[in-house]
Amino acid sequence: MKAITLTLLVSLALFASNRKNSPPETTPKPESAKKTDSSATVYSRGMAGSVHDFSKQTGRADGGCSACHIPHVQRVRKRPDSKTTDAVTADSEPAVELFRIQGQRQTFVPGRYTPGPTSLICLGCHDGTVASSTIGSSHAMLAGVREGFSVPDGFVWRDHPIGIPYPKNNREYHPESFVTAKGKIRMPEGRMECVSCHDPHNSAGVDKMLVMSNRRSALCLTCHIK
Amino acid sequence: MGSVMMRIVRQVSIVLVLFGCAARVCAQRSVVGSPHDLSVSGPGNLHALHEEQVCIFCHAPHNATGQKPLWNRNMPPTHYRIYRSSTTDARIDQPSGPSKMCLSCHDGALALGLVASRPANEPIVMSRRMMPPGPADLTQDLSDDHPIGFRFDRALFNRDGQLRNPDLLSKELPLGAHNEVHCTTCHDPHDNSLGDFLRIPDRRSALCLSCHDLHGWESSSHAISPKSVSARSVDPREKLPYQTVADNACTSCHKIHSAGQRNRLLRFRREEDNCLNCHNGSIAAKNIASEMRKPSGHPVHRFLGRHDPNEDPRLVQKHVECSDCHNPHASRSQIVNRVDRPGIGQISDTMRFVSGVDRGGRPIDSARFEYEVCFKCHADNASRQLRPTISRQVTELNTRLEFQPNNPSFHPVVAPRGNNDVVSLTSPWRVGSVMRCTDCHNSDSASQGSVVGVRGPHGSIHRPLLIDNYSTGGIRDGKSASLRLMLSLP
Repeated sequence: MKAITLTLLVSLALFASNRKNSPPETTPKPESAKKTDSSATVYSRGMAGSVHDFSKQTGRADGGCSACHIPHVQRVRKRPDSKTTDAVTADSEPAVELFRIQGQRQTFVPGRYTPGPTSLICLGCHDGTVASSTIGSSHAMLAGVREGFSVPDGFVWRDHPIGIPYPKNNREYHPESFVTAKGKIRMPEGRMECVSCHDPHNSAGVDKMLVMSNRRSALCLTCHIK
Repeated sequence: MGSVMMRIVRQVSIVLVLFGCAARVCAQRSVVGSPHDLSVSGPGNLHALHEEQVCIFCHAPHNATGQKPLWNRNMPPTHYRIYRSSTTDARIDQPSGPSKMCLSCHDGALALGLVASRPANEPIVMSRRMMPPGPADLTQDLSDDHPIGFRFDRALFNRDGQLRNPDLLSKELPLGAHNEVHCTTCHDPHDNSLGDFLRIPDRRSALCLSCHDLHGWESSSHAISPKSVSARSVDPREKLPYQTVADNACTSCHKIHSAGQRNRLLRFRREEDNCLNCHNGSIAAKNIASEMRKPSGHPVHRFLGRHDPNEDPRLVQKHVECSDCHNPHASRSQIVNRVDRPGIGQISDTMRFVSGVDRGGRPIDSARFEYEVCFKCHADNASRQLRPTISRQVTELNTRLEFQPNNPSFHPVVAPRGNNDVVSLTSPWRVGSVMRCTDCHNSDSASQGSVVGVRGPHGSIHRPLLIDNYSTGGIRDGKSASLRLMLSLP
């Protein structure tokens, strides 16, 4: 008899503890469904396997680096209007001139923005004229602005401006020092360029090769006070 | 000892003030977490099912529409029904610019997840596809909303006369490129710390009064009344934002969006409801609503949509509304009611800044004498169907002409009389006194001579809207002819 009660008690206790450990039945299902974290989405870090992995196209053993970089070229282009004298000379500094497509104009939208040298490299492919398959895709950012292609009438800039100086003393924007403090967002020569938001090397492993996750628009709100 | 106490009090108050400031700063000032945060983790029932970005519903970094500021929704091609009013001097046009951007969601016509940066067949999946009906859905009928898309410039300021100088408008309330008023003039879509995404607090209608400058408002009862407005005592459908009449100010009677009465953006469609919902004993001191139910009076409930503040009193069709005799923007309670009797017929404070017709029959903007307000209807207006109640030698139905000072005999309403032969006058009436229409035509409750009774020609149990019983047959018994006796009361 005693044994039976003991086992009963034990099983009861076990049942109770099980109930405690198991998630409550009234889980707010929509909540859990809502919280799909972007970190859960599988994006591998690094170049290998990323959309910028051009190893197949180049057919070289360098993993496709040569699509954008060439070794042993210490040539740094500066903005024509730059006042800084000491240019950054890193080994991996892209050889802009080589990879700027012939005939590409400096000024994309007359009188508005002049993308800097780093952005020109990106636009060398991402201006939507490299291949017809890119038209309508995320490559087609600046279609038709290359020399030889006429700028369509009523051409409208549909993208975030690049090549613009980061606003100073503007209460709509965080100070530049705050924005660049974490080292993720870069402002080459104090200007907003493609690499301010995107990391072509995909080191963060975030969707759209962003430098950081844009969950809750965190990337936008690093600069914009909204 | 006293100084120590003072110091403590001062320090405590400083701490409290600092705490208040901190609370203000800490209040939600970002679009993230506001009702405009439609991301999957946004508050409220309306949100995306998977999309984690907040900005993307309105702005996109790439492949936006090309309209500033990186606008990500296609503009609705809708032709809106826009606000019209006989009293506005603004040239109101179809909404444009930023207003149209707001309307791309808030007109309730376009799917919320449809953004330009994504293919039309892959919109952002939302918990609800369209804007649900409610206060945020302005619909495509904007005639019941405060007008937008008009230029608030110096020219309008000069034309209107009840607006403030736009040059002095606060920098916190931005106008468009051509001085147009947009949704974004009053609302900041990114900052909901004040509620309703307002740019400045609307206590005492500070927001409205940044542009509007109404004659007599500052000292009017509606602007200063500390009377409490309990939960839904004014409008059963909407809880007013503040506790007192003065703090609610304009919003006590007006609705800025989805108004019941369109032309004046009034809260209720029937004109008198806007007044009598408070003046029925619930909030205002005097119960006018019960006066209106008396057998003889000014039947405001019989007319709907006929009154127009811009009307010509000589030509307008017969009607009566509260605002025919009162200007709620300027009206203030008459504290001392009868001490000035016998006065010079000056107008009561409850009827400040009301239009009238002077004794020559000319319409005037602001009546100086009470009879000028009465003459708006009871004089030259021909739409009243008149039949004489008493047959007289000279039949005259134009009350203005009946009181002309060049008549052989007249009651001294528009001018005093110099007839020294009137021996029956009782004090304080004397030769040279001037009467008001309301000395005879008034509420029966005013005859008691007390200051509590409701005054004014709203309604009376004695026809025709008399302050007391008037029967010519009663003089003999000494009881009646009380109208005459009443007039002798102090």
